[in-house]
Amino acid sequence: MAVKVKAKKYLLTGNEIIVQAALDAGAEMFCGYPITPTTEILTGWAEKAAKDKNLLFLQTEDETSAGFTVIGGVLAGKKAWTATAGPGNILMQDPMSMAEAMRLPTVCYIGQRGGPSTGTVIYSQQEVTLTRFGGNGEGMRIVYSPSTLQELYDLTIKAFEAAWKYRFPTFVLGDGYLGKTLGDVDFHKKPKNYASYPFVQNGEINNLRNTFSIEEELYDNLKDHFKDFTEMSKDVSECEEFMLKDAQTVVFAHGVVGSATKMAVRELREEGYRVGLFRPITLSPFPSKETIRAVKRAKRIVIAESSYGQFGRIVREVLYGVTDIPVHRLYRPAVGIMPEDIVEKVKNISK
Amino acid sequence: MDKPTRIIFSGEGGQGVQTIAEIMARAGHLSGHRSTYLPNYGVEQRGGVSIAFVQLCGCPEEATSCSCNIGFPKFKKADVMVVLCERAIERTRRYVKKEALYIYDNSLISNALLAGISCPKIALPATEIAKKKLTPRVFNVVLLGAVIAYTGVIDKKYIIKAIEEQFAEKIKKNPEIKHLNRRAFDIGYEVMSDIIRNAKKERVSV
Repeated sequence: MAVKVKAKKYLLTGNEIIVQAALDAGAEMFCGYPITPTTEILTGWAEKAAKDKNLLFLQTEDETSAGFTVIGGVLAGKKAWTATAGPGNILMQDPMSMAEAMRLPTVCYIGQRGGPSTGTVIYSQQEVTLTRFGGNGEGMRIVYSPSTLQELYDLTIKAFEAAWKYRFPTFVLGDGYLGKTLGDVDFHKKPKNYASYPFVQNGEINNLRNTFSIEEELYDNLKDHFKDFTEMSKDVSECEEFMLKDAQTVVFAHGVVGSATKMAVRELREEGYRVGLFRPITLSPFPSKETIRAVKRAKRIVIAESSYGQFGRIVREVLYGVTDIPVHRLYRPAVGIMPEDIVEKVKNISK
Repeated sequence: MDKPTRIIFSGEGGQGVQTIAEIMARAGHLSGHRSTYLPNYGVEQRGGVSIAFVQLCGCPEEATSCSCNIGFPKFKKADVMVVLCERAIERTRRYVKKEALYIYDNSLISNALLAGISCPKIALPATEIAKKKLTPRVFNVVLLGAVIAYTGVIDKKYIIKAIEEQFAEKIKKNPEIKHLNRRAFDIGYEVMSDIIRNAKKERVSV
């Protein structure tokens, strides 16, 4: 292995890293309501805000209010953001749907936890559909799915950039394993820091609409949004393709399960299995072209996720009509997927 | 590809399980060994069984890049199990493998309950030792000392530094805390080193 000079690393928890990333991306305002496993983001920001009078902090009465106050901050020109999880993600949907209608650059970190309802408090991948499509509307949202602590930092920064550049509600879809893990990270990236600006000036009328009297009017409005969304998709969508070149088995996984899969692929490769990983970094817009390319020479696909097919549905929709190779499912709703589970699955289906 | 060392600390909430896990990860980081620490608990505010997952890469300190497969913070089987209360035995049974070392506090856990645990075990009366020589509160750091001596990856000096970082606020208020924890660590370290030395003499593996 090539010898590299070690970068200066910091030891932080995922939740601390997210706060640092938001600060480095120029965030100025956080409104939220505490919920496990994202509470330390709220308290971490509150501590920073207590020391720096340029940082605004508001604890609201619930997540619905948190979302709307973030929208208020954004309208006034502040880089405002929030963090929530599970039941809080549900309550957040009304304001996020409004942000989608008004094309506002909100940023929201989601720490997925098990459901339905209160469920469990640390981990799942069961908020994929909710985060991508939640709310009435069409789900014109940008959703990043980080797989490591380093990506938590990098993608949180990217979320702010993408939100302010393209003006769609943007989410970083993490989980409590990532948020609570203490590990190494480096802050090497110099963020581009797209400037924020007020959407309404004094004495000026700027009609950002979320209400329409005539159906056709809304339809025309949505067509414009779709056009914008489609245009930015190729610039925003991202994926990691790991050892795919000669892979007969392609494992699809996202988020922290992507990390476990990468470990599994390394182990399996040592034993001679021709296996690779395809990991979408953005769940919306989805890297569809690359997904199709990834299975071209494959003999079989495995979809691994800590949910009963929420991610699988996206993959299978993209691949519909493209290939007829078998699709194996490793769906384990609400529990973690360890590298060993993936190794075992790949060995079983390769027989 | 190297395998990292994987440790599970478990006990009652409030026993300081998460604290020693965090100190270990911190010391790993300070010494240049990649490390991760993941706490695990349920919805209860207090009184539940508390589990901590720690991974530590074994590459030499001077290595400039590490090939340990350490990306995912949780794991299925641990190399070292540290069990501090009886309720934790059942909760952590699934993480035990037969080559693991099972370290438990036999001032808190009766040996009879461990009949079903098939890996090598070491009984360490950490609570009793801490009560007699220092103060019961630091019994967790006695156990940390034992784990560090057994795993042998991290140099002692980094643990001392990590302890100082971990308790910085408390030490500021009461400098005695630094010495108490250092001594607790040293005692645990020595006890385990003796056990290892004796085992080598008798040619049995621990």
